Amino acid sequence: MSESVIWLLACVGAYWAYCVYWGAASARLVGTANDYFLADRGISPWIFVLAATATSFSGWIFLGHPAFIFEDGFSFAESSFAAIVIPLTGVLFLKRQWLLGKRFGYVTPGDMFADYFGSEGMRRLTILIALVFSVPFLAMQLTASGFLIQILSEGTVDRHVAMWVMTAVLFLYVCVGGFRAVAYVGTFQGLLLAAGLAAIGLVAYGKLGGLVPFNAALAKLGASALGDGGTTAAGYNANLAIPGVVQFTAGLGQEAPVGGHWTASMILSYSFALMGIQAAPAFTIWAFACRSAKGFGIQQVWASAAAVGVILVFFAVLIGMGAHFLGASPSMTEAGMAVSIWLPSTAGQDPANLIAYYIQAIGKNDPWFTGLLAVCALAAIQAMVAFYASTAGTILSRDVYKRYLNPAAGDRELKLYGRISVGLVLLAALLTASYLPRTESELGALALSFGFQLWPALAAVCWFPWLTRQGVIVGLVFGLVAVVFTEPFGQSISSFVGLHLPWGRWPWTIHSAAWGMFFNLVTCLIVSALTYGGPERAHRARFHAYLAEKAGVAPERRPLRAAAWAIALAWIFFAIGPGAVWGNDLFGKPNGGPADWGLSLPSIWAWQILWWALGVLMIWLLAYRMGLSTVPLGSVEFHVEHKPAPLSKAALASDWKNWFWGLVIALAALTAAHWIFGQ
Amino acid sequence: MLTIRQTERRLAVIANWGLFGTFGLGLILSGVNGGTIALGLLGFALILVGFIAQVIINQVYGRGFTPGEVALGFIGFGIAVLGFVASWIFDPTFGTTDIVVGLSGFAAIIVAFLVYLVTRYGLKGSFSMFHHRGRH
Repeated sequence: MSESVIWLLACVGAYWAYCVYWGAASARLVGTANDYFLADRGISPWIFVLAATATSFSGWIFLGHPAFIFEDGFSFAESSFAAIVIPLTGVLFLKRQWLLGKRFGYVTPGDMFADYFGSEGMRRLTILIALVFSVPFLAMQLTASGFLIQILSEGTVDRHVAMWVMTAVLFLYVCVGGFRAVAYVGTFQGLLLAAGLAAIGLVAYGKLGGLVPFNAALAKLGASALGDGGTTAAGYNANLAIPGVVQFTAGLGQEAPVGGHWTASMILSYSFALMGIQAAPAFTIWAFACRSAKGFGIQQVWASAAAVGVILVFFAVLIGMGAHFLGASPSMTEAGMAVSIWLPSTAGQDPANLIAYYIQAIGKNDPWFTGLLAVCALAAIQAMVAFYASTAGTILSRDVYKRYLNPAAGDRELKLYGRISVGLVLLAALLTASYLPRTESELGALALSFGFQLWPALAAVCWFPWLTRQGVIVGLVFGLVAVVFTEPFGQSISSFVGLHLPWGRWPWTIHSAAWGMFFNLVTCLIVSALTYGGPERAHRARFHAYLAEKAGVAPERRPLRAAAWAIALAWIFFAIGPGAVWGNDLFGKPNGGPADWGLSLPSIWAWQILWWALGVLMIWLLAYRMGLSTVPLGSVEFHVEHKPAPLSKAALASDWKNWFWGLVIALAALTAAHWIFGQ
Repeated sequence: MLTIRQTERRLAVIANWGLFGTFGLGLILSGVNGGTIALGLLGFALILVGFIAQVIINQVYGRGFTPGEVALGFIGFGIAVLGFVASWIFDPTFGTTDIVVGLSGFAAIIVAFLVYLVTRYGLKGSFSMFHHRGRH
């Protein structure tokens, strides 16, 4: 066993001991079910800032983002604006959900939606989205962690063993300590995520010899046609340019877009998918668990947009694009573009694990950093897994067990079923990761887009009383169906029944999140227009009157409102929308080299840096100047217990039947999925 | 049993040292191992940042260092100094770079600690604190 493997095992062991310690420490503070599920609505602002940032960005940013930049170049790096668009959802909805949670005592998003819309159907859809978001998405994260450990331990630890041990540790501290443990451990995970990515970026910067050699190598790349995407229709290397506003292709798997699929339309629609992270049911639980609204603005503006933004815009680019010139791309090494041969060429053949190869290379001279950086990556992954397992457990316990199976359940039973639910969710994710890799990737691809489909529902609850129950529910169903059929899962289902869809994944280079939202929104608006009015309107007005009183825009800021939204729309257009293509050559042609690059950087990178800085200002404007994330006016009611109207016995009996048949259908679907996708 | 506020302070302190302490030590090791003064000094700088961050945490939570933290700090510092001196005496590969890194780093930590004492307790108060503790 090499020295770096010993350091790896020691550091990971110490880190897991830390997690278990905080699980035990949190358990001592758990009394009631609300303590367990929501930390008694007492999460401090600074804990929220760090832990919510960790759960928003987590392992997919740490491992996936640099890897995709390596594969697809600066056109994918446009999605570094995740640092802006993810908190944008929070700016719009978080404070208002928090207020409603305090006022009405909601514990789960199902409680909120069912109460607001007066519909149990909405609760069930929320459960479905929460589970789709949780199980396959968690499975993907577990798989990534397994590969990470396997590579870093030089094969000493099998990836399955790593996954199972990590899940056992997660189960232990989440199950024992509840949401408080997730939040407490999340603080350190947030710090490690940022520090780890920044550290690897700095190492890449050092190995590249600074910005000047890096830009010189990028110039050589720009003057060539090397890279997976070849050249764009404009003749630029696809690594250094966005391949057009939109390409009307049939979709991935059927027709390859020229210069890669990261067109401006794809960037915009993928950004929508990322907005699904803070729109997902689990994130609503973050809002309900916070003690005050003080942390919202800090998390959105400074932690996400500014701190994570700088890491993504600079360090992730150095890691991803830099890898080409550090030996990971044999073709570029042969073409004489490599600055040094530091990474193994296998890294280029296995880009999903690029970060693991970086850590391995760093550990050759400094073995202790193998352990330390591996812990950073694991912490990033674990932040999301623990959070979604915990919140899915809460949703299952409250929205299924208490609501339908045992309405009289007390604190003790709820905590017990919460813990069992956490175990079930983690076990399902683990089994999927271990034995159903294809199912994992196909269902996991739905997660973000499913989360984003809750936008109209959240918009209705937080902003627009004229969106009706019928409109939101029917729209949501249409949106979910559209998402399914623009992803591989829908392709597989249709193929299974003998129907071959004429489109592939993401037709017209538009992500499934946007396809879903198109059908969702159109249906929602039409049905809402048809069902507007009636007694339900007065019921919903009660919520909006409260929000207007506590979170309305102050009179002196109202003149700013139009300007703020105009700025936000302009930012979306230029940073992640069609206007982003101007960034291709506004500051010099990609193949012009440093002499032609106005800011001594490739034009598209300079464009991204510029719009990232403006994005921070935009989020600041919305969060603070417009008051969307500031502390609300007046006092906010605390300690109200939400008591939903009891289901009648007939309804309950009918629900039992519904649940029974639902379970039968779910099991049949699982069996079919296993038969179709299982390997 | 610790209150929630005390638990959160402990969380902040451990997370702080978990970040700055581990990265700081890692960089010091890298600096000494690779003979790079800048890396070693950067490691000590991170340890100092950790110390300053803990002072800020103490301020936010309205209390000073706990006796356990003081003991742990002195023990850790003592072991590090002993290790440094022992390496200087007994390790023939211990070079000038290592000596520069070690002396500069330890000196910076001592100065930072003294500055903290003086700013918190005043010049006279700092001496009296040791004086009183010595007598009782």
